[in-house]
Amino acid sequence: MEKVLDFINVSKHYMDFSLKNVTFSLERGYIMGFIGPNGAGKSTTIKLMMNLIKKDSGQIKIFGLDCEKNNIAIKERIGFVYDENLFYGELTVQEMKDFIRPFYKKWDESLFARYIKEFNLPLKKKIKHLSKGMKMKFSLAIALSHHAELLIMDEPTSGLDPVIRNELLDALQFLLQDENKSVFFSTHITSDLEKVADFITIINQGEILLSKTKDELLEEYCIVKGRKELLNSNHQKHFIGLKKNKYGFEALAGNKREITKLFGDSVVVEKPSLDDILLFLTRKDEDRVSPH
Amino acid sequence: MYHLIKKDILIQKRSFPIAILLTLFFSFSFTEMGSAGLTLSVTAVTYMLTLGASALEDQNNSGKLLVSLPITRKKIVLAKYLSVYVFASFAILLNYLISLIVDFLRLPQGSLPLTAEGILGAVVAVTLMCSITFPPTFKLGYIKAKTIIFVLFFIMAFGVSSLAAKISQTGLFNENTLFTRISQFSITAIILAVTFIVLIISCLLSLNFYKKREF
Repeated sequence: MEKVLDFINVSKHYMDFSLKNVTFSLERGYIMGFIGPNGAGKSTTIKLMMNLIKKDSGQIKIFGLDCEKNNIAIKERIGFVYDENLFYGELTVQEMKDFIRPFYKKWDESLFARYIKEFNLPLKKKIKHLSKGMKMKFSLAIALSHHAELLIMDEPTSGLDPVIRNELLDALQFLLQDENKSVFFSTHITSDLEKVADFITIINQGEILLSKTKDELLEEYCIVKGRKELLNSNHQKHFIGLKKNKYGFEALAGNKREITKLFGDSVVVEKPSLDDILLFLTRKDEDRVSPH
Repeated sequence: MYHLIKKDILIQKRSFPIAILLTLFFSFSFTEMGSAGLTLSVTAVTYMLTLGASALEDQNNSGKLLVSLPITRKKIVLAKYLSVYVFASFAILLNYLISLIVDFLRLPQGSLPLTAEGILGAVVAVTLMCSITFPPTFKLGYIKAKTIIFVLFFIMAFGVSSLAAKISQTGLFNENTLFTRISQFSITAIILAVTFIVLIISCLLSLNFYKKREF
């Protein structure tokens, strides 16, 4: 399988934050959800992909090409959606599109017209007068109108109402009917990903905690609930994260079979949500167990 | 680059009526200044539009958008420098149109004369001003660079006036010295050459700063 996105031991250091040896890859035709709490390093990772900042070490390859050396050729094949509006407020939707269009050799005007119609975007309206949802839809229409092979989205759904969020996710799913396209989708709203993602990568404090297929993650991982007395130090090594209170415990485990074998019917084993996994992996208390 | 320059014009739709009013004001208030009035008028309008484009870019954080598009950072910088001369041409054209209207209507107060001296003066002035403004702007963004630009202008104004005072003390411009004997043409050529060198240095600095800029 061809890797469209390949991060190999990428590091970037700031005074108060560091991205440490980030390694993951995305294959053609899949959606990867990139999740982590605020300040985990999601936007920094995306900025590195987009060449908005320079890495300190490691290698970033997009479509098999070095990200810095082939910057323009890569960007021709990328569509991007950021969490903030970067368009000129004084321009109308039409004027903004006319500005961006000449930079993409593969711009498809009929495709853009289709998205404008589908998203009900007013061409003559100034961007500053569009709602947040409209701006996001416009951003998506621009990103999708030049036959991009990789769509990079930085928290596109944050601050949007559920109706617009749903529309956006539907558009993404429609897009993915084309097996040639891949999506890298960063978010802290994990429910968005339960619907669309094929792969999940979790980042916290600048480090990748895991990168797996969503199905693998939701099948293998489990939430274990039981009485406190059942716990001993031997059991704890099977847990990725553990939460105790005076009545009992709740833990996240990475191997459902092992847990069933270990506890039998004495505990309740449930399928976790992505939110559960994220919370257990990124919790900051003394009961947090190493994810490895 | 054409599209980047066109964008700088489009985003300032609201500034153009102000530019026209400003030109009219200069045209009728500084008529007696002649060529110097034209230099002042073109420089002021050009600088206003140039700064306006940079300020709007910063306000929208659109630098991040431009760098994310398939455009080289070099093109973004060079387009910004070229846009200065597009704005200057617009300001000169405005003055020309005003002079045509004034002549046609035979208005008594007259208008600013469109002399080569005035135009050249304006080109030199806007080149120098933008050469100072752009490198800090490309390094930090317009809003953060504003104070630095102000300090640089202050240093330049102070430096030029003290240099002029020093030169006059040396007697270089007294009668029959080399400086008073060289032709007007040579002085213009020297000024243009110095301006050009400043422009090139500024451009190289801006390219280097913007290449390293992180968004």
